[in-house]
Amino acid sequence: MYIYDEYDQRIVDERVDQFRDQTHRYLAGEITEDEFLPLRLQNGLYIQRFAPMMRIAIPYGLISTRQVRKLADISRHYDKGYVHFTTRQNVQLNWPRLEEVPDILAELATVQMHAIQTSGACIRSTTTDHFAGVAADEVVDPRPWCELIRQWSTFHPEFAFLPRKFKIAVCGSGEDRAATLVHDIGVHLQKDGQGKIRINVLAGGGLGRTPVIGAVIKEDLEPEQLLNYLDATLRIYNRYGRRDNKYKARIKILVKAMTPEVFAREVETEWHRIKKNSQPLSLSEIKRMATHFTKHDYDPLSDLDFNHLALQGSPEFQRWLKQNVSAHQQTGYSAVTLTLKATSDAPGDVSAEQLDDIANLADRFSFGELRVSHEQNLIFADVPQAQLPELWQALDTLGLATPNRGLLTDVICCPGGDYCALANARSIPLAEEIQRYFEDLDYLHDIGELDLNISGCMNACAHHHVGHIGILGVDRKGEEYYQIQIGGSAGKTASLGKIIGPSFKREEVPDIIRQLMSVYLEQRYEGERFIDTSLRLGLTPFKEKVYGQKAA
Amino acid sequence: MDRKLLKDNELYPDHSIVWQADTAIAENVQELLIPQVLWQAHKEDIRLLSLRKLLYVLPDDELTDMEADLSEFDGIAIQFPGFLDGRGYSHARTLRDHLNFRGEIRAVGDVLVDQLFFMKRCGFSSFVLKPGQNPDAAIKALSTFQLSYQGSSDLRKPVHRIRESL
Repeated sequence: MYIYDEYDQRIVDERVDQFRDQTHRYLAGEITEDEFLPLRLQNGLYIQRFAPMMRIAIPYGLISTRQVRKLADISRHYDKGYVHFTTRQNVQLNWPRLEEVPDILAELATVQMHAIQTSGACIRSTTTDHFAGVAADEVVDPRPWCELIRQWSTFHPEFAFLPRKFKIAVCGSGEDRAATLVHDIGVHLQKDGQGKIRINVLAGGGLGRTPVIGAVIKEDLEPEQLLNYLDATLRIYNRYGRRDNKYKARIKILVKAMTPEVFAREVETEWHRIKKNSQPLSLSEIKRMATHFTKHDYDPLSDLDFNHLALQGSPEFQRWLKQNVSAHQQTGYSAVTLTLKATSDAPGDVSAEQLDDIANLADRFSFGELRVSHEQNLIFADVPQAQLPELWQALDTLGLATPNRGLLTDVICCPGGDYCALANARSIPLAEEIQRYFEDLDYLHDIGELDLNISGCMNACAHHHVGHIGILGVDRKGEEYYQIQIGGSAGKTASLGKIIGPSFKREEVPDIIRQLMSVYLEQRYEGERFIDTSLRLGLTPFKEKVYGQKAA
Repeated sequence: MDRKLLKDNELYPDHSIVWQADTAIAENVQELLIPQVLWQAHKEDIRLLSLRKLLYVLPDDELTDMEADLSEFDGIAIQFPGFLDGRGYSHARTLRDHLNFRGEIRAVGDVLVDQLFFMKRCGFSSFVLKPGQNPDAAIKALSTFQLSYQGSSDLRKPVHRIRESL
């Protein structure tokens, strides 16, 4: 992973000093509440329902065990002994004290971490495939490009006061595991006929109130020009994006209003201007970056026969092996997902003790590194297959072997009304009710792959529009209701879900999901996933089941 | 007028006004900020004025229309209607990088201490602080960071170029 040199370290250290000074001036009354708002937001600091909430960056989801232990320490010392992994490869503290935030930042800086631009109307932390560098279907390792984008966007002087937040996601594999089609910018890395890296750039995707699938605005960009091209795109957005209405300020509205073709032409013109007097990314810098993301020192192992491996273990082990273990580039190795979705724990929450245990296991089994996924899970990316039984045993003892990755109970869920001041409804209790209702593992495995996303409001932090089943919390005259949509997906053929009809009370939701499942189980073709069945059939049979013949 | 102009790390009283075709100019006024539309309409009259003249750029303005006339101004004042409106940063960079403007670029309007570092990097060379801003903090803020990851209009090398030159 990327290791800071003295320059990187100095930049984060100076950031700590800057924020300490800003906090001091704010507390002394020199900076008004309104003026402090963007300053603290650009350090990930929200004022939440009960306390500040602090969002810490885990750039493109890569974290070392040393950093994990530091997070555990910080959560014990400055918070309530747990952290929350978010849907954007970040981690949140829910109860820090404003006065202590500069100290937390200083602690983070000692392990090369920060909270820079994790919030606010600026370029947010870049996200990518959680299997980057190990995925079997990978064409280009996205991590060096993510780090280049991270550095370019860090304190970018021109784009600290954009019309609205701005999120970039990078994908370098066959399957898109970074939801790039619903980001402000999606960067697709690929190789041309000669094996040279070329980049397609997408713009104008996004969720929230007006979900839109991004459009390709540039094909076959030379990688040396990536940052210049991003500069051009951001400049067009900064200049012409709407600033009169918060809900129309994202780049997706601008791209739609201009049309992707005209937007692309404007960017192209600006890019040609920029190219004239900006240096391209140097090949030596690209190379230097790549040296930070070389392969681990893998042992020469052969792939094991998983059927054989499964037969040696318990049914629980077999389920976990099938569901939570993923293919790897390197023979003899696998990637293992620890879902943070055990029933009764809020999705994405981990205690400090668990963090320490997880760090110890990652040191033992996975080269001292972890990944954080936008599905709010953790990943050991480099586990020798022969050690899978031993790892499972250890995880099972710690309650971290829940075999539900990608299943109905692997709920993607925002903090919702329990924590968030924006929410219309609570998300966490609903996630828990659904997990309790669908306890039967055989039933869950029979349903198979299913993305269930629950957002507590329109802002769509849990990306409900691209859940195979998406649930949105709504406020009906002060009462929590939940609107259900189906047919969304986040891959390269991303689709937006459609609302099935009027919303439901929370206690009704689990049974409504069961009804949706019964339509699927009756009508699916052999091997067909819920998402594919729902797209094939359309809404009608699902509506009829849930609301009766008349409603449909 | 208790507005202060920060320029070359010194503070001066701000003696500028936004010029309007029909207003008399008070005696203590030293500089005129001239809106683009008025410049287009009254070029000849404005040329006769002997005060320092700065083109007054609003967020919506298109600067490329002004390219041929830029040399007639002593400087350019870019207006920030609210500190959250970041369009002025792109204007400054366009002036420095594409229109090759080398004179004074001044930030006016809702100009706060904690914006100054970014403004400087985008090519601003002077700043009329919003009343009430702490001048010492403002001077300090101009050197918040010693290093920057990306190149910008202040011509400082991005970090990776520094690494390469070692």
